[in-house]
Amino acid sequence: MRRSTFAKAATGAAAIALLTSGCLGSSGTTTTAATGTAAGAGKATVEVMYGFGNEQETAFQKDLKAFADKSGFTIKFTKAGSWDTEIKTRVAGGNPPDVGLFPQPGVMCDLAKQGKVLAYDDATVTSAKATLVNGFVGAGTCTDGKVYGLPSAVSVKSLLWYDAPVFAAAGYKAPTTLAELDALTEKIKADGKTPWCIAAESGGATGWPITDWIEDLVLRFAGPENYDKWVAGTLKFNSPEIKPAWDYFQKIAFTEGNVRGGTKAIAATNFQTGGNVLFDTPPACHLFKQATFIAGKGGFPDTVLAKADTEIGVVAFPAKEAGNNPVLTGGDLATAFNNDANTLKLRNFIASKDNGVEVGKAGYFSPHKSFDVTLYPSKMLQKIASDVLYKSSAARFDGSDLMPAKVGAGTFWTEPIKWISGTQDLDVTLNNIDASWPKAAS
Amino acid sequence: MTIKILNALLAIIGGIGGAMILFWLLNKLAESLKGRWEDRVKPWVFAGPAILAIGVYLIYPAIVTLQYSFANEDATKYVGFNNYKDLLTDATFLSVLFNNLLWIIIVPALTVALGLGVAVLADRLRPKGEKLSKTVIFLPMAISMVGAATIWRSIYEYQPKGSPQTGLLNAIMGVFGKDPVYWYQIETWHLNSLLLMVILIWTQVGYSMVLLSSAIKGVPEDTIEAGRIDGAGERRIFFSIVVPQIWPTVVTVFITVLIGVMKVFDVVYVTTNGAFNTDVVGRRFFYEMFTNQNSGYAAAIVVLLMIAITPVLVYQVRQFRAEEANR
Repeated sequence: MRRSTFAKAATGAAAIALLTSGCLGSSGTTTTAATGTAAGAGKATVEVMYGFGNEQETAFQKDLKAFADKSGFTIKFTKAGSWDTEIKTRVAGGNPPDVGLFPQPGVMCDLAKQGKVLAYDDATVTSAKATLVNGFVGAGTCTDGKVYGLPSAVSVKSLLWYDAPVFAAAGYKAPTTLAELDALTEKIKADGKTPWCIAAESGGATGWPITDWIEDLVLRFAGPENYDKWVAGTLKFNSPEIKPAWDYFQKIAFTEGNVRGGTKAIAATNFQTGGNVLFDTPPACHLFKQATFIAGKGGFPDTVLAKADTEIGVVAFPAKEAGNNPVLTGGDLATAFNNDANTLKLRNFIASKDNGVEVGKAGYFSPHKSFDVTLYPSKMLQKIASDVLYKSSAARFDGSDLMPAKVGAGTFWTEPIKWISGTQDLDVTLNNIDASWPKAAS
Repeated sequence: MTIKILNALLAIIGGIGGAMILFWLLNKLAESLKGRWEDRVKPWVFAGPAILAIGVYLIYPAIVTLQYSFANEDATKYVGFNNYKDLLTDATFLSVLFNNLLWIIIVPALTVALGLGVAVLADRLRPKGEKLSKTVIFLPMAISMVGAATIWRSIYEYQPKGSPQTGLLNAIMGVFGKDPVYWYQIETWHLNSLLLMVILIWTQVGYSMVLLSSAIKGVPEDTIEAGRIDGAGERRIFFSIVVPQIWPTVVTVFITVLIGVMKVFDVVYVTTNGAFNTDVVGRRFFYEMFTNQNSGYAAAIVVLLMIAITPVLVYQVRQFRAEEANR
């Protein structure tokens, strides 16, 4: 009896001893990372946190490592699986990274208000402005007028895709203005074919491709300044400035014979594969609007991608008037969390025109017009960069990402789907979205 | 990496060892007490940590949820019954409640009925056939809801008219020369909700079958024989002799599925995300909490759900006690 209790106690004690030593081991590593902060100027290791993956991640690390080696410090790369949650947790826990790449300015500006991130100095902003596509400095500017983030790599959303050989054979010309787009739509219809594929099905996120459509049209019909007001909530969805964009979409999507499968098919067709029938013989539709990613794995068919430069036709989504074409983009904003010399050096490099060589080779666009477009891996991407991104009159970030989540990831997705599937008309849709906008923060 | 694995192992060992030591020490302490006090204190010593854990992880959050349901969206000010008033006068929320009601009425009943049917019929097969059919029917039980919804996508999927149909249902429609239909979009008679329920039933029938099958096998052969001798037909034997004897199991299965259905979320979330009038309470709660970031509405929805589930739980506990008493 005595023996067995002793044995139990001994095992327990041993377990506890092991447990404590194990815990000490793990907390030991975190302490070393934290004590690095004590050094005054120029940390030996700068931590960069970001939310992207795949080839972009590898290329991004290569670019930064080359810079850090030259400058004499090392970089610790941290990938956030869920950016918003993880960055908020680390800032709240008093353990932010040194440099962060924010996919959307919303959270960044919240942190700026709390004084958790550093603004750029005027000299850096001015030199960046010289080469950045017009509008990108505004994307990282918060309500206090200071610039807290500048973009590193961006994606382009304002694109119109078509099958180049089919267009050549039928004598269709890629439109550059909305008037030409209307004419082309009518012409294709008159030839007894279907002009458009519109695909908005995305499982639980169904409806978001519609937001890209509307945002591009708002940029064109209301102009970039009104777009900003709309995104900020000062211009309502049903205001006379914004509504024409919806009316235009209605004209394209609701007119009999315009869209493959009719309006009902829009909410049922998957956004990733919905454009594949462009390349069928004979094509089931002729025009498709989607961001750059559609010409990659999981998007257009592999057989088409293999011959992308000859098969895939792509132009900027048409402008309202020729030569004045805004572009809708997404991208990551480089932001610093502390005043360390190396932190700022690295942040400024990430946002500079010199960064992005490897990232560019991997097929992600630099926001700087001075970037050497021949670095992009395919003719198609080179064309998107030089003709769409760098020629645009104004760049704007995706508006639904900037709106309060209740609208941007809520009613802006769901209400248009109700409209398209025929349960309510446009006015009800717009009023519902306006009604869902959160009242001014108290 | 190895350090992480080692740490995890140590944490597991340490957790179990720590708990053992804790109980051993508490037991020693209780034993050191004199006379009757040892018997008085001992039960609490062993139940105490569990009660404490339930208090911290269940009772306390429940009370806080109740409190939040009377507060505004970021829980900074009390708003009285406004959250409840808003929700219960919101037409979309009422249709959510109605949808949930449909789920509650249809899914548990069908799950039990189908499970019972399979259990009875499989019972009459040869052992090999019974094993095989039961395994196949039980398989979906091992698939997560998200996985199940993805599998069923290949049945409900829609392609616009003119291209090959990848969904089974629409392919069949094509054989009969009908136009393809986007099934999730059809609100008439709540057909889309019914189609989603099919997914849940598909995953749950296996569970109901296994429990009911073992209950049927437990029915004493002599009671059935006695019925036969008295001249009862098969149907009579089933409904008057078998069913009454397995009734407690039927109730248990029904209630377990019912509680699961009241909390249904994932099937709706990954298929329609509540669009086309298929929304349910679980998804609406998630939406209010994490998309709208309105903890007031979210808490109010949870409280309503708690109120709705409580009678079911009370009934289940009573039923369980009655069964225990019968033994």
